[in-house]
Amino acid sequence: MILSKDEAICLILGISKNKEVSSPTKLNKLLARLNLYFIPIEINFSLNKFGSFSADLSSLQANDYYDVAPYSYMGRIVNKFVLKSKGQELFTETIKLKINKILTDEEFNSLKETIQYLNSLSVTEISDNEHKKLLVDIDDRFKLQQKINENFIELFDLYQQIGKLPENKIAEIRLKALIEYCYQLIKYLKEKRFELLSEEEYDFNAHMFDYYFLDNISQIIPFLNKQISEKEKNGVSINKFYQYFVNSVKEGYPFSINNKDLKELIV
Amino acid sequence: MGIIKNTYAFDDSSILKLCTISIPDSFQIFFKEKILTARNYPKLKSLIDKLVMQDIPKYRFVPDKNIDENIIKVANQLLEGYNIQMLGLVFKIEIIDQLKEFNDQIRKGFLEIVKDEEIGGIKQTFENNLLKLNKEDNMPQDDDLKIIAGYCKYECSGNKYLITEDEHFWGYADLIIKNFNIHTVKEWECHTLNI
Repeated sequence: MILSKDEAICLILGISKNKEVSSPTKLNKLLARLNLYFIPIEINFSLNKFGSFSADLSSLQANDYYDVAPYSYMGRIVNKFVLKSKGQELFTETIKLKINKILTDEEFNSLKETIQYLNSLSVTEISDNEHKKLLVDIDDRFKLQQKINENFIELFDLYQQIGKLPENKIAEIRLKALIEYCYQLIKYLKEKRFELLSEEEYDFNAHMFDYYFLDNISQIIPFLNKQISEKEKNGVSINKFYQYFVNSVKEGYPFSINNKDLKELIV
Repeated sequence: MGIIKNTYAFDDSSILKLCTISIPDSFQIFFKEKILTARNYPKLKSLIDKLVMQDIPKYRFVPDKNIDENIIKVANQLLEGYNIQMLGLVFKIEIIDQLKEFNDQIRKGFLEIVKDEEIGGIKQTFENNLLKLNKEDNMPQDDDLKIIAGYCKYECSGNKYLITEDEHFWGYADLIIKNFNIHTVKEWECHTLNI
């Protein structure tokens, strides 16, 4: 499961107040934030000093689903994005059905509240918060290193246990697959992506998914630990995490099941 | 005199085996083809094609409460004989997800026969004639009996065929035709049916 670029934009607009977002940069930030809610979207993000950035979103044009409406703000002309009726239809008939497979009603309402709150902030405020949360600043590099090591050890322990777990239900198999994937992913992050953490220069060329994946793995470790011993698995949440980690990156990120050379990264 | 129409019904596992699994790029090194299909796929497809060409409806049994179990079973069968040396569980889930999606889509292409809950008499018939099967359990499961009960009640002017790979059906083929007037067709022989 993955949301296409238009579906992701309509999701953001659909849950925003007045069904609009006031600038392309803010839309970019809000879309990036879906990654921290484990929602896979077909948009690649890179890291720059203002946080996450996607070149795919730099020149969005109006289409059947949303309008790009210019308005004057502090003497400048800025484009805002407004959901159209066909976009609302897409939201209700397609996007919401996809979301229902990975989020509970409660989680969806929480996402809605967060997006509305972030939408009320300035772009800089959203960026600062993201930098701090993901430890992408140079000053936080030692914390980042610590986080990688801790997560790797936790995942290694979990990975050792999956052989003993049954495979009678889809949720059980998916939980094991999720742990298997996260273990190999954190190993890749530790050994390949963050092997040489620069202490002097800002990492302008980093792929934002290195940070999203690392942060999100650390978020789900307590859940994985709990689920491994639970008799009745939480199928919806397991599916949410699985779909996010496995399907968020199709092309452009090396650790992907769509990369024909993935085996070399794992071995 | 009206036209005699036979009925062709498939169990869920056989329907799932009509799915062609597209193999993600990273796993293609473990396979010769870019798609993965069940061993009996060509035979099942051949029968389905014949039915479609002659505009004969295909049937399945509902409700499909055991569909997840059947999906896991078919996924395991698809993986038999392959040695996936990385992310084997992830690959299995990719197969499962494609089978789930296929099952959601294919529903529309099959008419439905409702399983019947009243299986007391049918159960008794099997218990009185229990055979030694290759399967661990010689007695068909309740869901198998519900399929037979539902198919019995289903009205049809011609013969009733049940296409299945489950030994709980074909292992009892003689009993089933004699007592319930249903022809059991082994999945791997289904292409030989004269339509």
